[in-house]
Amino acid sequence: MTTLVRASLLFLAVAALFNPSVPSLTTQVSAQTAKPIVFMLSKNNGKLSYSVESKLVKDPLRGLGEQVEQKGENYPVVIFFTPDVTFEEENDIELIANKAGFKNVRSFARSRDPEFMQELKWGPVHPFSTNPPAN
Amino acid sequence: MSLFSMTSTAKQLFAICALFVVSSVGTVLHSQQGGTAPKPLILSSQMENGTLAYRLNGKRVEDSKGNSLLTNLERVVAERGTGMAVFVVIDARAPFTEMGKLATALDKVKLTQNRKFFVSYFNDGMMNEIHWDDKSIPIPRN
Repeated sequence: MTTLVRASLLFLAVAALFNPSVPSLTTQVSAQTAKPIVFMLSKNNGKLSYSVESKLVKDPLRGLGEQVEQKGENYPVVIFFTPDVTFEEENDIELIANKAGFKNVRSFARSRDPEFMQELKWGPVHPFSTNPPAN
Repeated sequence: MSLFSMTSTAKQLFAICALFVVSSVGTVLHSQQGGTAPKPLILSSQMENGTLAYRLNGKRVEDSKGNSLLTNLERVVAERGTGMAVFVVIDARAPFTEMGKLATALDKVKLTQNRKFFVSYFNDGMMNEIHWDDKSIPIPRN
């Protein structure tokens, strides 16, 4: 390996290390055990409201995009929603979280008891049938 | 590809087929299998003109006092018992509370076993199964 190649590689490594837009290795590693990013989805007077880490956001993609830049794509995200939101609205947020780059997204709904929540999991899409495949 | 990302043209293309398939495939499968597999019960909740329309095996219910969902479910259970599979198809534009409402109706007539919940737009011929975790967990407060 020539000196020039070595110097270039070293430069790139140092640049990546100090670039604030690239989540650091320590952030990526700690993401496995970190407290998840909480995305709240609820309705106020029939209108959807979103909050990321308890902060109201107008654009969920932007709110989650900022989080992925700060914490990295492996950071866990929890979508917490109230049962008055529609299936479509909840699924849209999961898609937006994936679009923002997050790879570990889980959804929970508040159950009848307001102190408890229940995890929701979407199965695969399949054609209308009265004999759907077992999941 | 997700059900939610299909184009409206594709959805329209399947519009008539979807309901036809739901109402007829069970009968076809039943006859193909020599009547061995019991026909599942299909309960649907579809958004029509901004309100939810309920159908039980393709027949409109809950549109009048005498034609309530519960009355119709009780009739089916009296005829066929509680052992049949139940497929509940809910409109994607309905709130999650709808699922609890239909589950409660099924609980009331003892259709508690072998039931599956699906979400669909009804006009694209596709559906997503949804699952709830069996156990509720406390909401963390920190």
